[in-house]
Amino acid sequence: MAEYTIALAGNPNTGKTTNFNQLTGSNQHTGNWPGKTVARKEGIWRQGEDVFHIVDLPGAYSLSAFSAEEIIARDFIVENQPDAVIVVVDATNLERNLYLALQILEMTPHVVLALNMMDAARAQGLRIDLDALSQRLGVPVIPMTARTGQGMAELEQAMVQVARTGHAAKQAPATPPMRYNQRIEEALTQLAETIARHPVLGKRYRARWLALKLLQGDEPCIQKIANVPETESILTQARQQAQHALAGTSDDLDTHIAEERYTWLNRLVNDVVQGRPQGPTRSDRVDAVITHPVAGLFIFFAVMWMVFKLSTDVAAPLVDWIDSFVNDYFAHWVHQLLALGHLQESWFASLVVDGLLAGLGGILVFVPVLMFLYMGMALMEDSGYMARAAFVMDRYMRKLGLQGKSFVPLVLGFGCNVPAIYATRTLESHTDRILTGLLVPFMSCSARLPVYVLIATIFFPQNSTLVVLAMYLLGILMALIAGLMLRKTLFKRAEESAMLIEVPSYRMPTLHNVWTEMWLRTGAFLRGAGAIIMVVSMVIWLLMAIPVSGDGRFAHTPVDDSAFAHLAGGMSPAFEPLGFGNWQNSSALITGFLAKEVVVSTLAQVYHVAPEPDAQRQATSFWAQSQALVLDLGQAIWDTVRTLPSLVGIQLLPDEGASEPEALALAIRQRFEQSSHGHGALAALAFMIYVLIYSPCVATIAAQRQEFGFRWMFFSLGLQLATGWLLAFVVFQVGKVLLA
Amino acid sequence: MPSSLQPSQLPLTQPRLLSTVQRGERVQLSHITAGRRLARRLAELGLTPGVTLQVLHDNGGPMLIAVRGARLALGRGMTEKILVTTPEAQHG
Repeated sequence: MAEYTIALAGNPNTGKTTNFNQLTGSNQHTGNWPGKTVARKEGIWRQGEDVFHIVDLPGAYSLSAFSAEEIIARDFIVENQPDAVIVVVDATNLERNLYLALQILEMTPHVVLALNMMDAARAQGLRIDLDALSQRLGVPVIPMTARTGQGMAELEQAMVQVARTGHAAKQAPATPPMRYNQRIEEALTQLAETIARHPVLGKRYRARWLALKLLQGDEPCIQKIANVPETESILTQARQQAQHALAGTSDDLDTHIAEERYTWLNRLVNDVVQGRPQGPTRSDRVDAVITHPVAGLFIFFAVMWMVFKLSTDVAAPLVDWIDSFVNDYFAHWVHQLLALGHLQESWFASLVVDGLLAGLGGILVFVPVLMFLYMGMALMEDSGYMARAAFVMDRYMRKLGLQGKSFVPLVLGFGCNVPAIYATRTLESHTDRILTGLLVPFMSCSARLPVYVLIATIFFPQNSTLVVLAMYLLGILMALIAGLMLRKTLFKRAEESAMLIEVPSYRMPTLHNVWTEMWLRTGAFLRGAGAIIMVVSMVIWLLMAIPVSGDGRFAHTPVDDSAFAHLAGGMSPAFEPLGFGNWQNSSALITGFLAKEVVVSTLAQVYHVAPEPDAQRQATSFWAQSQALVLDLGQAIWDTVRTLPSLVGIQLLPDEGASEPEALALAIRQRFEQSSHGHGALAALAFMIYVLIYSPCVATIAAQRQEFGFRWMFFSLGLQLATGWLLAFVVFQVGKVLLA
Repeated sequence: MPSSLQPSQLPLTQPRLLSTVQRGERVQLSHITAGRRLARRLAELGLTPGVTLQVLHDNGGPMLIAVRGARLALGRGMTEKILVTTPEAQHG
């Protein structure tokens, strides 16, 4: 038995991920590259006794250390020395794609070229001389179509062969197929000789590659070398050689090297590929509509509307089902189980049901939302639409100091902030990712809507729709202002990000790939954010369980007497200037921090107007309940299917009119009038504004931590809390003066 | 006029900004006036001096261009840093 490491490299949009999914199936796991927020995917492929670890390197156009992704990909090939590197290239876009392959061939000789998307190449009428291409590059070339699995067997075979050779001859020198001009080659040869003689560098690196990097003045490389003893003379020599290589031209060495590579590739592609299209392709003609300044906008909003609908209305029946599964069915049986041990009245029962299960429910209800959202995202990415969306929105997002692609996470935020935070991963620049991630919480997610609806119908019965809409617009306005201010201050020195993306041809997404991506990303959420949600849920349970006043026991205390109520009461002075400072409202805001879905139910609970638990579900047999549960799931899936036509505006499900209990409305109205000293409506408005801004929920915060680290998580939390408070304060106080 | 241009690429017209090029027009890249990092980035994506490119779509700022068989979307910040010339063939 032997173990091999295989790296999978390629440009974005070349079907690299499809290829990876085909190779490894579900036998893969995701994480992050050490110290980076770039996803690392690794999978296993077996042949007999032998194990092949397939590492999916981040998609990159080149390996010149321009972005975090490029540095990761490059370091992996150079430092980890995989036994083979599979370079996936788009057969319809060879000249551009082979640039990366050429760079990798300078780093290692153990390369397999996977010529992907052969079906599209054939459809375009391209004829590629595979033997000539393989001979000129000096590596095996495998024609394939990853989306259908065609050519996979041949690729696996070539991979095994190259990996065995690579394993046996780790140190074999790279054999790049092209040579630069004479001056550069002379400089390279001399520098490479010096490097090869160095006791450490000579063993660790391939001399010619390192020589080229040092000539180019590659910063990350120079820093690494500078840490190795006795390398000063090499670095000095590199600087002199670079000047020598450039003597007589005004060119920049980097640009010059890129130019020579492309010249070589252009000749190669002209020699081995026949029938390259001269005029606009079919994809270009479609783009005349899709990227049109006016029509393109409409199409973009229609697409976003559908993705948005998928993650809200279509997911809703499944969310309800999971909610009842955890909170009714599962909780009921846990109760029964606890009763067997005569524990049903103990604090332990309360811990399990109100703490653990509530937390679990809080995590699981996100699963359908995220699944549908990731499905929409995967469809947009795989079809090639994502790049067009970025193009269409670019001119508008530029005003915010962001680029077009940032619009997608922001729009998704209206459905749910959590996947929106994860969607920032599609942005190339680190600054863009963070800035967009800071603005996402201003997008009013669907869980905040019931709060507006409840409060608005109580205080503004005539204009409730208008008030709700105003909340959404206010969120957008705040994002605009915050974006501009952050650009002017914190991100002042960050490079203004201008769009620079390759736009792939349109292609049909595959079910296999969309399905795999959907599950992988949802799983990543469960692992990443699950723990934090659970911890916060337990803390709130603990606070509610501890009796501070009254004669209750631990876990058996009325909520009014709990530590929670006292803590909320302690916080309420902070909300007094906003007009809604009482412990009940503070409680709702604290649980709202856990999840906005529970704000309304907390209000009902603390105002003592909670509805009686559903009698129907009680006291039936395990069998009958399980049956009902399965039937409910069937109903939920059927409802999900029936909501699908609503994507194009057809309503099959009747709208359930929300009817708030009169008692709750009355209680809320009274308490708001009290806490605001007669300005109930104004206080209600301030409350809604605060709910809109103060913090989306602990899951979003957990997602921010996972994506941007603790520092930015706290910064975002502080930003939300501060702006929410200030805005609510201004509205309430200024409103009071105006109304007086 | 930059001295590094080869005689065969000598333009008949003054270099102008890519952002001023009309939709459908084919032009030749003259040089890039961005910082070293960006210039290098563009070169690696195939935008090297002398290469022919065509503007496919113009979205009032951002442009979709064809270069070396690939399609690139360039934001306004990019198109204002790329200088191009009209190739000889169209004049002769």
